[in-house]
Amino acid sequence: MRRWLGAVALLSLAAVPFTEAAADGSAPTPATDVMTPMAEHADKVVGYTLRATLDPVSHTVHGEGTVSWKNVSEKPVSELWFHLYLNAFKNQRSVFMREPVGGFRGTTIPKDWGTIDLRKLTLDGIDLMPKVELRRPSDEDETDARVPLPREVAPGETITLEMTWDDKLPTVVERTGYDGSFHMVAQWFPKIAKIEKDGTFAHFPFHHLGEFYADYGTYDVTLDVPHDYVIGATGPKVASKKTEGGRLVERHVQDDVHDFAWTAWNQWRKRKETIDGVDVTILYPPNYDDIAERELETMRFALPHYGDRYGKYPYGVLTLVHPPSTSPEAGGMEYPTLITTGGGSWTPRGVHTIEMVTIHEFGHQYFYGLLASNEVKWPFLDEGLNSYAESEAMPHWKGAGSGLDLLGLTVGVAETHGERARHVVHDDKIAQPAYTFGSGTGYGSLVYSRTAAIVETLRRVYGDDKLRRTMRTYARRFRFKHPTPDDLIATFREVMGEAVATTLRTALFDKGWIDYAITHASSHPVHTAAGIFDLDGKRETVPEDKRARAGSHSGWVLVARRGTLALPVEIELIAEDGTKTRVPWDGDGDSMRVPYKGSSPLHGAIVDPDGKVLLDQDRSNDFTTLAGRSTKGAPNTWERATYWAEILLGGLSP
Amino acid sequence: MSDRLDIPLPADTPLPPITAPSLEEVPPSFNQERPTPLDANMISARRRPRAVVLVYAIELVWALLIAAPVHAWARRVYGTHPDGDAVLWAPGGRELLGWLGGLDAAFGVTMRTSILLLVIGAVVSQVLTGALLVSLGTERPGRRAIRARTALAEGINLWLPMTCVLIVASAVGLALLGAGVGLGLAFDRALIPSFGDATAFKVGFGLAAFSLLLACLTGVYFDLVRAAIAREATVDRAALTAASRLWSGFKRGAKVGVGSYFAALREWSWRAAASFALLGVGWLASSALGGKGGFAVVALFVVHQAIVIGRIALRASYFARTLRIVG
Repeated sequence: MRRWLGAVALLSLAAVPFTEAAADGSAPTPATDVMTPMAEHADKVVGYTLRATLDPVSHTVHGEGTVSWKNVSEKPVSELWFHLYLNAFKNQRSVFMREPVGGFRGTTIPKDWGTIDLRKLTLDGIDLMPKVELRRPSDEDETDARVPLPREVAPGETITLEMTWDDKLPTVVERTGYDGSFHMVAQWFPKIAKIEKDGTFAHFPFHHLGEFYADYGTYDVTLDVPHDYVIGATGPKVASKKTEGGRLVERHVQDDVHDFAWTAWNQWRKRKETIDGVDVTILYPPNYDDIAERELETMRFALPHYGDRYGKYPYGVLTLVHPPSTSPEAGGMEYPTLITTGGGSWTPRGVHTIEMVTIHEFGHQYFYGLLASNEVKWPFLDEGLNSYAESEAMPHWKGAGSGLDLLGLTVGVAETHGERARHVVHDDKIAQPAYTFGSGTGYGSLVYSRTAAIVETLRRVYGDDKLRRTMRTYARRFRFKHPTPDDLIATFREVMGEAVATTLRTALFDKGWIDYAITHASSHPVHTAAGIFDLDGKRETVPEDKRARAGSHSGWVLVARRGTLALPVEIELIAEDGTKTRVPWDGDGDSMRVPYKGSSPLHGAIVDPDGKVLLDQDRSNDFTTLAGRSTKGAPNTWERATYWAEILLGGLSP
Repeated sequence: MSDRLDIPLPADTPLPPITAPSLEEVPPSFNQERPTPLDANMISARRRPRAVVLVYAIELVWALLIAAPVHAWARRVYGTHPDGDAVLWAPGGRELLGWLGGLDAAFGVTMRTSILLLVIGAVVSQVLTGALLVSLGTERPGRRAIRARTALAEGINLWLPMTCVLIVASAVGLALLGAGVGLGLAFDRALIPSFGDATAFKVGFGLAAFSLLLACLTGVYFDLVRAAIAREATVDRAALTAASRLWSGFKRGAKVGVGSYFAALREWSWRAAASFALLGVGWLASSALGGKGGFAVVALFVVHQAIVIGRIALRASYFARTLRIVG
């Protein structure tokens, strides 16, 4: 079965440019074909030229350099805002530490705290430090610093600041820190907050839930580490030398990115491979060679697949970092051209966690890296769409058992998202800032899984081709442009129509939900009519018990649509003689009465027989067998449960 | 009194009382139901196919009982689906996930009931252990196997010592495994700084695997104890308490020579490997035929039941060997 599914999936993939598989058979809108224009470069707002020196004994990084910043807004600005993320780990008074979030990563208190201390900040030789406001009144958090400027910066003007700072890395917490000689250095430099068109800054403290948002630019970073360390960093290495002082100095430069992260460890093993024109490097702990190979295998599939779906990966390099197992918190994260993966060296091949985390983090290169929406305000635009992309990609590679294929059971990634999504449908809205979610569990289930389930449902209901074109259009059109939910919904409207856009908006913003249910079904033999008839001048009365049978059967099925979403669906009518008929319903109205006519009685009915509506809240009311008809019972469950009971019993008895 | 039959006795000589002979005094040929110990060299599972079938039949009935709550629940939820519960096991697992993750509180009750029945079944099935061992190691006149009801009666007599062995064997095995896993984790953590986590994991895993091996080795000893208890019960028919049978069995098991112990280990090893191989076949069959309904379910049932019978036959064959060793 799995081989057939894989073959069908591959055939579908191959046939994409040549088919018109839209659900309603309409031709694609000319502006939304595969050649939607795609920006080759970002509008450069910032330029960081930095030097970082790592002391692996004290786990500190001394940083210095310059940042050029362009006012791309429409208003003059007289202040800047800087993210000082590492101060989230300075003490328990930070917003990050204070927020009572459970059920997500980063809940441990670091054994060693972390800080970032700005030592020097000048503009045109003027010292800005005296005016720097690290905190807000009545709040001790120091991750969101306001820097008043000595003068206004006009729209279109570029300024250059000089800065010096010192980091003290924490023990690994929330993706950054150290563990022995292993260092994952992320969110480590004073980072200017993103300027919006209206002249305001998207500044915010570092919340426990919620990630990052910044302007595009160039990063030219020189890293200075002990000579026996291996470095992995954003962007290609353009220079490297070992100094007489026993240090290794590497320079990495990358355009068109909005962040820079790096790692240094004296235990890294390294492999390189060119995949789909990209120089891929993987850094991994000793004796993780099998795992490294699996992650490279994943990239051999993912790079061309995502390139087809969302536009070619534009950078020349990609670095995969598999952290040591003692630092799991450093794993599962994305930075421009660098991702951290994870998973134990013992993970068997049939368990796809290694592949899933790799493909998920790589997918972020698109939604976090190339689209760069505001992850704090609209986390679903990154995590949710990326979770969909992962659930779409994995079956193409691994078949129906993309999540699990064990002991004869196959479970798909999309189905797992769908199940997780069902449990939280009424808890909260999806489209809201990350820090407003009540719990990490709810955040994960809604932002990741429910968003993925929504988009996957639209794909199944309206057709793979249409959804693929929509996502491709969105990814290409808004590359480097920081799209918002309105941009996403507008793209859906353009390619798939108003109804789909409305469904998407309701599902994301209004806790939209749906449950199709068969509430009634009936079948009876057809007779000639009873009553008084005037025929050829004669009046005749036909009593009910004297009606002739017409030799056919008639009936109906009543299907209810509960909830606030409306999705087209099919209702399958099954006759006693095995004949199956499918009747479409566009989902309008609260219910639909589906008539039945046939030569044998109606046996049963199923709404959504192909399981397209992944969001359906309750599948157990989607089918019925009419009273008095024979039912098939549960022979498969009986057989499996009996066998497993015998095996378990056999472990303890003869 | 004279024993001579030709000398008449005085008229007032009292006659000896008339009493029925005890079972021990009656020659075997006159007691059709009493098991007679087989010579150790004659003990073989191939001679007792009906015993294997009987064990299988009883275990099948109990397994059906264990599966009944889960089956009833699946039938209630998916029985009215036109495709039955085939949809529950279809590739992708959507219905299965929905069923298992559902908000129906009955799922928890169902699983707890099945687990309870499993535990009870495991304890009660020690009757079968005793019955099988006695059946393998004895005969009735005419070189025939003892009757099923006789074997079960013997099994009931031996239930208490057999259950005690099961409890002690499980406790020892779990303790060894727990110690091994704990030690493995401790070594894993301790070795990471010097050797890296992959090597440290291998060492830790190796320790845990070794403890599993030790648990299996002690399991072989307990199998010898079971055989000894059953053998003594048939050889020495004196009315012993369960405790004394148990103690006697442990002593006899411990007296088995090293050579004989390793012989038992050898007999266990290849049969255990064959048993796991059968499980692998079951896995493949499930992958190929599972969730398809119709004839595929019947075919899968046949394959699975053949695997269960095969495993019981392997176990019976191993029991026969242990009886030979202690005999």
